[in-house]
Amino acid sequence: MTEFYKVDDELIDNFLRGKLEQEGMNDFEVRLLEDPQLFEAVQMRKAMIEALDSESSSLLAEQSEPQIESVVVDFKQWLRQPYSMAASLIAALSVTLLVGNMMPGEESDSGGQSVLVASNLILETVRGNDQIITSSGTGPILLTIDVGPVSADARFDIIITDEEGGEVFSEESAGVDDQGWLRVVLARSFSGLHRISVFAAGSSEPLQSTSIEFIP
Amino acid sequence: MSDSNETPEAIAAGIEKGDKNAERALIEKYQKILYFVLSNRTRDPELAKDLVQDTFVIVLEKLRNNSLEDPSKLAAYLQSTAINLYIGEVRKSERRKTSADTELIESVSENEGDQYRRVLQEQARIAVRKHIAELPQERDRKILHRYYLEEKDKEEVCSELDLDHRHFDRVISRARTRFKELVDEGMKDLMLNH
Repeated sequence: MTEFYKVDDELIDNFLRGKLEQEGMNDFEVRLLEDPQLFEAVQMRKAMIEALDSESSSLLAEQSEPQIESVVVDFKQWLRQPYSMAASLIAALSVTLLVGNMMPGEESDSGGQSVLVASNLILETVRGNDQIITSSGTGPILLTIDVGPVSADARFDIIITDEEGGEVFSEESAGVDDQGWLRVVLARSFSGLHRISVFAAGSSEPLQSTSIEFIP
Repeated sequence: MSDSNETPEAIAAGIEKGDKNAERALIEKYQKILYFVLSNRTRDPELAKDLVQDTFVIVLEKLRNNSLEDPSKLAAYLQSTAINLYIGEVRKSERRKTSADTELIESVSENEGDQYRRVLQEQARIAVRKHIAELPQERDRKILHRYYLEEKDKEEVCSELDLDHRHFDRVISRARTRFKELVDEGMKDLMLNH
């Protein structure tokens, strides 16, 4: 099959839905006749919609497998210190931490939720682009990402995909602390090669993307 | 031998000279797409098939007589002829009349196109199943359902699901891309196994 033809996707959808004006419809049909790649893209979209239709029951069904839960936790100074000084680009620690609870004797300033984590995975911004990072440790994993200096109201989407590109985890509109750290708890262990991508909330282009080999 | 990769101008010139291969090339190049266009318009596969045939009868005649002003606009001429036939609601008896060209048009096999469609449909179902299974958020599955199956527009879906437009764009864009990837993978596997 040839390369996917980059055309206005919405135009294809509107054509297939019969939502183009008469003139637009005529123009598009002529383009189809002139351009086999556009025709291929339209055929592909039509096949997708028909397949979605035939699978509509599963599209609306409750997910049978338990969803991966995530909890965005507040940053705690006592957690940050040891790791921010680390010279390594990434640290994956098999430790058990109680995130969201205050240190003994301290009073909670967030009313945060207590989450028992078994591993802490820290991703810092300065690193090789194509480097595959290895991470060992079991879940729940506290994923800590350095997104650099950003405004206090900046929000990010985090998406983890497996080796085949399938989305296995997503967290939307996660906030950061005043040091530019973003934290998400992954409620289970992962195994194998994955890719972690960070997007500005709502964007489809990742700001940062990293391959990680999880070794439980 | 006919070559459907020929330019419209070359096909038109060949037909004018009486080259039967050029006529075959015209049909091979445009038949499948014309049928798709007409099926999309008519929502009636049988009617679309008849209209495709009538369109070629008219266009071939025109090209043989060299009465097409600008051969580079062959696609536009085919489209307008086909749509005019449809809009004019050609009489069914006329649509089914036998023409000297009918044999040629019918002889150009649609088998290849039909086979591709069947394989694509099968691969599409597999790809969609995989993609649905990959979607961790129920809300993302709802987006696909409402947009593609209920044919609601973006504004409506975003309002109903209390979504940011960018999130909507991302889910739809990812579905399109992932679907294409999965279908391509399936097609490659098929080719390797045959």
